Parts: sequence; structure tokens; C-alpha cells
Amino acid sequence: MTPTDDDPNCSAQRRFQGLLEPHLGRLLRFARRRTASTGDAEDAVQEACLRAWMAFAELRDETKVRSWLYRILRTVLSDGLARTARRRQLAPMTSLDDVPEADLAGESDAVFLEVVTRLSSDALYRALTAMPQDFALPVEMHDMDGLKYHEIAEALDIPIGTVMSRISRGRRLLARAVGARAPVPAASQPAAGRALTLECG
Amino acid sequence: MTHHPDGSGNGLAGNRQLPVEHDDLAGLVAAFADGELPPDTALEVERHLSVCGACRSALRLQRAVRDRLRQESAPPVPAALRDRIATAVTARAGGGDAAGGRQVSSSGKRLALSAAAVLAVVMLGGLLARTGRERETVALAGDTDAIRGLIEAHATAWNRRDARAAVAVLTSDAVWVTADGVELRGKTAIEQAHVQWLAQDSVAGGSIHVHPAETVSIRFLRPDIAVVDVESQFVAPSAVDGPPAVLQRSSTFMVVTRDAGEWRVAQVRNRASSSF
Repeated sequence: MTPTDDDPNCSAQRRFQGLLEPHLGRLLRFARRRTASTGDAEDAVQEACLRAWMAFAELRDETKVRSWLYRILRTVLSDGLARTARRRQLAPMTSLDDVPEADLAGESDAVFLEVVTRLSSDALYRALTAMPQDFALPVEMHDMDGLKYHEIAEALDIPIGTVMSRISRGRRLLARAVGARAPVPAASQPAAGRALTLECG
Repeated sequence: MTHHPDGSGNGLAGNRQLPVEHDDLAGLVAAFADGELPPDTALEVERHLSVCGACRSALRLQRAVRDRLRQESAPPVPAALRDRIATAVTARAGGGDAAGGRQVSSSGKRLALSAAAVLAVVMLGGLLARTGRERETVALAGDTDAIRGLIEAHATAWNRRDARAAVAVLTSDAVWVTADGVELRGKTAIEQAHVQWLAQDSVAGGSIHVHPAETVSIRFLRPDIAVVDVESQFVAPSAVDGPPAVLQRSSTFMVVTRDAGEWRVAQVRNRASSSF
């Protein structure tokens, strides 16, 4: 049988795929950072898309599709094929109180600001992976994937105030982590030289 | 709001000595940086920032990390993955109807796709062919991401001081017209110019190249050709006090084309008082 435009299933498919498409690339990157291989990431995204399609009728408010997709993908990643591959690499889920203030960049850390702005992608991803995921997740979802705070709160099932504090701490933790790894640039060193040092490091 | 640890509760504006590590206040500063606060709260935070250097520094750090992460573009989605998803979705009956169809998900099952799944792809193809307008909308959404990715990739390469990577977003016969009217033809000439610009930038102390996401405007002339207007900024990396300093700001107009599934920049024209 060939589906027709009158077929409600086809109409739903078109709507679903239209909603899904703008987010696929970011979902794939999100999965890739939490799986052992590109193939695992693609499998996870495919599985999440299928689960989303199966539950599509439950999505009452299509403006919430992004947080809904991330929530489903997180479930797939945590209970599906990525679990084994990822377990050994997962940074511990650390509570806010477990991160010492000394590990956070503070008001006197202008140097971290400069280091961060010149980081290579590889260094950035390494630092994000090494961070406690409680902090890395909201930072990544907001800064890289473009989710709003309320969407992150929905996707992670945490209060919006927690999103705010975790993003704040996460960024400072990231700045401190990359700053600690990178050689501290000398004030008199030319900017290009500093960048070269960091990327080689 | 009583964010001061001494419990004074006098609001943010009077709290000059607030430690930025205080979770509530630090969270507010992050939310302020991201435009996530309601107007009245934002105003209160802004007042506090005007009297608190520590929080202004915290704000700059929040923005710096965010802006750097924003430059990371999402990878292109392989066509094969799109096909797999379309197949899996089509092979399942109705959204939300778990009773029908057959689940196709893991790599182990991929090869087991049956003739029914192949038929499903054909069906989906027919469906999309009949709904050209919707297909275009779907395709353009992915293309928009890809074009934004090109713009971000150029800025990221600039910030890594990598001229070759910066011009990797261009077609081989790209034309780049500077704000001074100098016309550079071809990727090689444009790369040499980038080397020179980066050297000049370094001598001047270095800058961070950003294209604020909200300034990017994309219009598709055809499915494989689009014009882009975007603001180009060069920001001082190490301003310690005051708001982030934009050293240069220019409007950039681009023509981007898609060839063999890859978007590239074919033409660039800077349109303001930029030296680049």
C-alpha cells in the first residue's frame, strides 16, 4: 500500500521528522561524547528517535520537543547500548557540595578567561569529559546545544535554580580545569605565542 | 533577594562584598549573562554588577566560556543515519502506537532489515516526493545548521590562529572582498591574507573572533545556494574591567553553496570599517 497525504500516520511522520531534523546534529554530538564510538552514538540516536516516534502521541506541546528528545536520548544512553562502553570513562556524578571551591575559577582568575578563549576543540572536549557530569551536562546543553534553562530543567528533571547554579559552577570548573592543564601564559608573551603553546600542550 | 551570606537581605545593589562563589549569586550572574532572568531580577543584578568588580569578573568568565563553547559546531549528520531513522520510523506503525511494526534500532539488527523495511524506504521516498514543500522545510533546517557551522568553524580557526583551517570553509575559487575593497581570488590568496591578518592581530595584542549567533541571517535562494548576513566581531581577550571590549565590528555578507552535500562559502564581502 502506498501511503497518502490523507493517511494520518504519514501526516504524523512528516510532522515528527520536521520536528526532529533541526536537532539531529546536536543530538549526535551529545551522544558521541558519551559513547565509545561513532557507531555507538549513531545507534543511540537512532534508538532515541525511534522511541520518540513511538511516544510521539504523548508529546502534547511541540515547543517542548527539544528537551523531550534530550530526555529520551539520555535514557537511551544510560540504560542502553552505551552503558558498558561508557561506564569506565564516566566521570563521577558529583554533588555540588563535593566540588571544592579551590577547583573553581574565581574572580581573580582573569588568566583562565584568556586560556579558555584560545582553547582547541580537543582540549575543550577533554576537559568537559573529565568534569563531573552534573556540571558538564547543563553547560554543554546550554552553551553548545542551545537549550534554554527551562528546557535543560525539563530534560534533566531538576529545578531551574539548580540549572543556574550548575551552569555557573560548571563553567568555572571548566575554566579552572583547562587553566590548570595549560601553561600559564606570561604577560609579556605575544598572544599568538600563547595560543601556539596551548595547542601544542 | 537575600543573597548576601551575612543575611543582611538588603538586595543585590548594596552588596559590594559578595563572594562570587556564593551559589545563588553566581547562578544569577550566569543567568544574567545568558539573558535568562526576568527583567526585574536582571535589573537588580545589573545594579549589583555596577558596584561589584568581583561579579563583573565572574560575568566575563561566564561569557568567555559560553562564547568559546558556542563556537563548536555540531557534526554533519550522515545520510546513512538519516536513512536508518527514516526506515525505523516508517517501519513502525503510527507515532505512539507501539502495537504495530517492528523495532529497528541496534547495529546488530541493521543487517536484518527486511524487504519490508526496503519497501518502507520506497514508501517514504514517495511520500516526500509528493510533499515537496515540507521536504524543503526539513532539508533547510539541516542546511541552516550546516551553514551556521561553517561560520563558527571560521571563527574557531581564527581563534586558534590557524589560517589554513580558516579558509577550509571556502570553495577553492572563493572571492573575498575586504572592507577596503581589495578583492582576493581563490583559497590560496585568501589564506595568505589570513596569515597576514593574524600576524597583524597578534602584534596588536590578539583578539577573539566571534559571530554572535543572533546576528546570523540566512536566506535560501535555492536549496543549494544561500546568502548570509552576519556580524563579525573582534573582541579584546583580556579586558579586566568594564564590559567585554569589541575592538572591531563589521557586517559580513556571504554567498554559500552546496556541492556534493557539502556547504562552502563562495563569496565574502565585508561591509564596514573593518581592516580585514
